Amino acid sequence: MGTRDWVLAFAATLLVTTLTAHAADKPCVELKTSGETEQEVVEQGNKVKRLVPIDKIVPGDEVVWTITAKNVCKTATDNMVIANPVPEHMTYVVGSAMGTGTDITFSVDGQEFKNAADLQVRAADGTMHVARPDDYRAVRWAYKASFAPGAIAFVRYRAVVK
Amino acid sequence: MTIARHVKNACLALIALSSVGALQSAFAVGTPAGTTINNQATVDYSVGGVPQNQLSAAVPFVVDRKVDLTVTEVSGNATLTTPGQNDVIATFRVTNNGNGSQGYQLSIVQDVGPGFVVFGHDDNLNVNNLRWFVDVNNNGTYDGPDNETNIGSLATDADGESRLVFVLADIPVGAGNNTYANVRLTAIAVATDGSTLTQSSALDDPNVEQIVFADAGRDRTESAADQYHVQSAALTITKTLQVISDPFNGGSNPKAIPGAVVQYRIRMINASTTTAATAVTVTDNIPANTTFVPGSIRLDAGIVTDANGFIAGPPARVVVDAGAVPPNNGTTDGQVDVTFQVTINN
Repeated sequence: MGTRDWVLAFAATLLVTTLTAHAADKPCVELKTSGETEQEVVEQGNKVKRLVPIDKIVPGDEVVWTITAKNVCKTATDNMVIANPVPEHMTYVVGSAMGTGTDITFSVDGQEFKNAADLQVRAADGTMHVARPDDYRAVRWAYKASFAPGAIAFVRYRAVVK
Repeated sequence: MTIARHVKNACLALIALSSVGALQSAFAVGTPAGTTINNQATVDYSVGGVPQNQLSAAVPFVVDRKVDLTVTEVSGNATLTTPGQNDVIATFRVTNNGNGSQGYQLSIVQDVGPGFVVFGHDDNLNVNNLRWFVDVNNNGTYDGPDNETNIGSLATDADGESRLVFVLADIPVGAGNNTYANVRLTAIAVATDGSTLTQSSALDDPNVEQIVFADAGRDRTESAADQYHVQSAALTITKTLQVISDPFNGGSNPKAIPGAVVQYRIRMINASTTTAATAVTVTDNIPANTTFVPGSIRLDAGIVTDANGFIAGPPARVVVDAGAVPPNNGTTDGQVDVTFQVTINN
């Protein structure tokens, strides 16, 4: 390897390091995931359902997952996509995904995302069937609009402990 | 820039791989207690058209221990038995419906009625010598007494999640027909080392496996009742006599005068529609002033020899082993007659 090659290689390394450091130092989005359960509580004499922090969790319990994203930069962010693999040992509650201003798609293999109506799964015998709750592997929310500085938004879905 | 994108794609590929791999494990019953469930969300975005590094946020929690059990009576019916029968078996099943292995402390009580209706009948009998045994080898049949009176550990898989418990009782000899004795098996979930379980009262610690009682009543205790239904033969005996002949009239309107032959009939009627009376023996002394007619003993139409049915005494008497009196169930008439004859002494 000649001197010129050394310089090039060094320059390339430097470039990568700088970019990575830049992006890592100043992420423009703060992401937070929280799990809660829905419980019936009495407020002013009426029974209402409220989300409360996760208490003890056993098989069969339903968890409401909320993922909150906040733009903490002084510039707008675009093309924001939140993704959440359905956790291991949990089953997605079909129809529970919501997110204002997002296109919600799902995946049965963790790679290809489609609308819920288009989710098809190939059974062991080769036939295709509509995805069942256990087939949902991941949920993805794609924001249609950009995020202004300081904007905050959340997406949500439910899953049951197997 | 291009290299940075490649790095990002590589990260994505790793995440995709790990999530697909994780999806392939499956559990027949609930997720085992102590399992950590980790939720990792990610976000991709751009600033000024430039894609930024992916961010992720993870929230783990530990699945708590669900203590849930059922105790069921297996047959769905009362256990039919008869007076004096020993080691009569009532069978129960204890099932672990939780998400971790548990032991079970067992105990048995019998109801002291009235006021305890099981299978439509109130308790009105107490049985003796109540014992219970666990089907330790899980073969579904009672193999004789052993020392296991508690269940050490039931797993959560389909093969190991339940165990039969055999309750044995001795039925009093004096138990009447259609009497009922209730027995109840209670199982209390304990740790597999036999120690007591305490439900965690503290708030959830997402990093610690805590204990939740999820059975009916949320007290880790379940029970079920079975019933011994005693069916006894109910014998009534009537004795009648008929003058067969006398020395003057022969068989035509004979009178009970000295020298006359008199036939006694002992009729046993079993009122039970289900249960035969067994080992029935008829004993009847020959009345004073009469003499047994040799060869006259009959069991229904069958001849009973004097050697098998007459004892010269004193007292002279007829002793017939009548065997069984069948139930009156439409197939058998529930009736057996023993007859013999005497002559009135001159």
